[in-house]
Amino acid sequence: MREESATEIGVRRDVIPAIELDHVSKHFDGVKAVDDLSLAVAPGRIFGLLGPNGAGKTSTIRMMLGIMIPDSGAVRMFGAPLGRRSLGQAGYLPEERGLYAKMTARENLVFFGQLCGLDAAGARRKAEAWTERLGIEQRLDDKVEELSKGMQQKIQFIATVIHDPAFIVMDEPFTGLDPINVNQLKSVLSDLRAKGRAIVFSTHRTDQIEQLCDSICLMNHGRSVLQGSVREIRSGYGTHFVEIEYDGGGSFLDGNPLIDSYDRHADYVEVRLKAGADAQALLRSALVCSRIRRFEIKEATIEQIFIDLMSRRDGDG
Amino acid sequence: MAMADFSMRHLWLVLAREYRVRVRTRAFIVSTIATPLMFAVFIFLPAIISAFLSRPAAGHRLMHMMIVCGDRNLATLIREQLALNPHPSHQIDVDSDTSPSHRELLNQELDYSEIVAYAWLDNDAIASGRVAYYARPWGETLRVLYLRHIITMALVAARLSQRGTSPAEIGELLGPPDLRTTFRGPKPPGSDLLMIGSGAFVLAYVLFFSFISYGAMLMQSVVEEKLSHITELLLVSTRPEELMAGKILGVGCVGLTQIAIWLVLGAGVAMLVPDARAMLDSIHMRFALVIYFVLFYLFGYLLFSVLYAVAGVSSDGIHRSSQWAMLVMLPLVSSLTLLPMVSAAPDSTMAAVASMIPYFAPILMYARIATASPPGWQIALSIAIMAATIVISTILCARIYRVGILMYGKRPSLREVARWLRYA
Repeated sequence: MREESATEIGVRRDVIPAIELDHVSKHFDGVKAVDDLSLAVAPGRIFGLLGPNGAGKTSTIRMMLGIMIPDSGAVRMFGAPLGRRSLGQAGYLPEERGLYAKMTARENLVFFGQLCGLDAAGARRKAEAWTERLGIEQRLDDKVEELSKGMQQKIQFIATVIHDPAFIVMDEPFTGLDPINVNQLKSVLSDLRAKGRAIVFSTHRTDQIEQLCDSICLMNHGRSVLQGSVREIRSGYGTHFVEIEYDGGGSFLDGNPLIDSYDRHADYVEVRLKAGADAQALLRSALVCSRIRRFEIKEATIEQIFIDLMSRRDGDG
Repeated sequence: MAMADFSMRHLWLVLAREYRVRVRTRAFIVSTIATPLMFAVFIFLPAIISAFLSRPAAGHRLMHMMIVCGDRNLATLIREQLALNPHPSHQIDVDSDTSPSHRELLNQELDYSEIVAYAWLDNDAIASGRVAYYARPWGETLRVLYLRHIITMALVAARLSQRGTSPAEIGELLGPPDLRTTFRGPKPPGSDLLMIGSGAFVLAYVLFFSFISYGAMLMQSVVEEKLSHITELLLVSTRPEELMAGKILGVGCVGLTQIAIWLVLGAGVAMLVPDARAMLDSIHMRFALVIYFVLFYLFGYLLFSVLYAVAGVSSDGIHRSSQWAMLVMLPLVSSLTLLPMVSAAPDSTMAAVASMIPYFAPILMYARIATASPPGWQIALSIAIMAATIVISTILCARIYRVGILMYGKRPSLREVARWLRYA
């Protein structure tokens, strides 16, 4: 898989990207946190930023939002350099949640709404509408410290979108939420995408990336390792994975020159083929000693690609 | 973003939030009430202790002392003097029995602490002036001074009487002076080394504690926002300079509110209670001193709060920031160390130079103004130096603040903090 340039990842040339990083680098004390990174996110798309701890995701996000200034390269929001006006269109949900614990949820939301350009009355109205939508309107006048972690998370989410930003950055937005609330917020994110908002979504959870994101950037050691649309990446990664359900001995698995590795599950085995190996040849060898009930050639999941790439890079290193 | 991008609206929003949250805390209400009480105790304690010592508490019996005088006329005159100048804590009886057995009895009473002392005047005391005083060997100075005065007055009256002076004339001759105390102008240098009981001294201390307590409040607020990562959220819409200025001014307004409450309360008490007004008059509480107090509070607060903000942002926890706070406290504590010397010689070269150093000026120049009348140009110069220092330190500290606010997980050394100046 080749690395793609910023203009190729789902952003048409005639569309002004919501956010665009152009050969951006940032270093601290000689360590490169972000190294020559380029990416672009179009309006109406959810963009996943994926990478292990220390990959440079947070620094990238901070530079997207003007919290940090890059050492080199350019950051543009809706085609303009970052400034007060362009940043007014941004909403940010940081990984570490930040609300004033001694203030009520309403006071927090009105304060952050006002900082993002709303007047007090408008911020109050929006706070009420959003809390009603997320089903926590009855807790609006409770102090944040009195709310459950999940509710605090929802208040934080509302603080991010209260001013209806066109560009939204969410760093691990579902941490601490139960599955019902996760689904509720996913539905809100999908609505925002449908309304044309550009969303950058940073997470370790590859399943969430697959469910929500249109395109991704996989980062490691400050560099972009892989970029593109989720669909293209999965289909272009090669059909290296096969799921097999069989009766009888599994002797075809051991010492098979076609197989790189395999994992046994309860009623099937997941096989990773060696590069260039033919799945049909594996099927033939399996039929020799076993009765095959299911033989499914699968696209690699984002998780598999992630692990594969990371282990390969670490092996190279 | 350029400096021209500075938003007064954002500064105001941060300021208003900081102010609202701080003034409704229990700590604010308690300190607003407790601080004047504490200082009232500090000011009035000497008077309270002195009143306590000079008056026996209810239920306690008076200490007993005897004066034995063989001359009945002199004994009568001594009684008259005792009636004119009663001792607040002693019962003093006068007897004319100069027999050896009476003397023996008094010695026994002294041994058994039934009396604290006795004075013995023989029959020829008017002529000889001899007085024998018997007491325990400690704590007699004040009693002896008192007795000396009483017996001197009685002896003079007796001698005048022997020379034919009429009782009316004697009363006129020995009449006490009509002594009235009035303080005028600044106190002479060195007249009051410790300025105990002086309003200026108290206000200098109020300044010191204000800088420390509001500085610590600001630092705590910065650390809390940094540790809870609220800052990260704020920085998307707000410049670090707006954030820092808003927080500094917000906490500063909390301090001004508290001081305003104290001044209004103080003025109310002074208007309603005549004794309090007299007390304020006696400690030279001039109106100009109050104005200077507010002025030096503002300049001092801005000077130190910028440093406290940097102390907060350079730390990664409340307990670690206290080490930085110690550094910031150095000039404050130095000011207090120099305060007695400066107030003892407020016009000396040392005082003039020390009060020009910007981080000493809020306390030392104020102390000079309170104890003497330094030239106007010196006051103006010290204010100008403070103002320039505030501008420069704010610019430098804002740069450190911008970088430090996003630095987590490690405690920076002074060198690293200096390097942040280049990052920003």
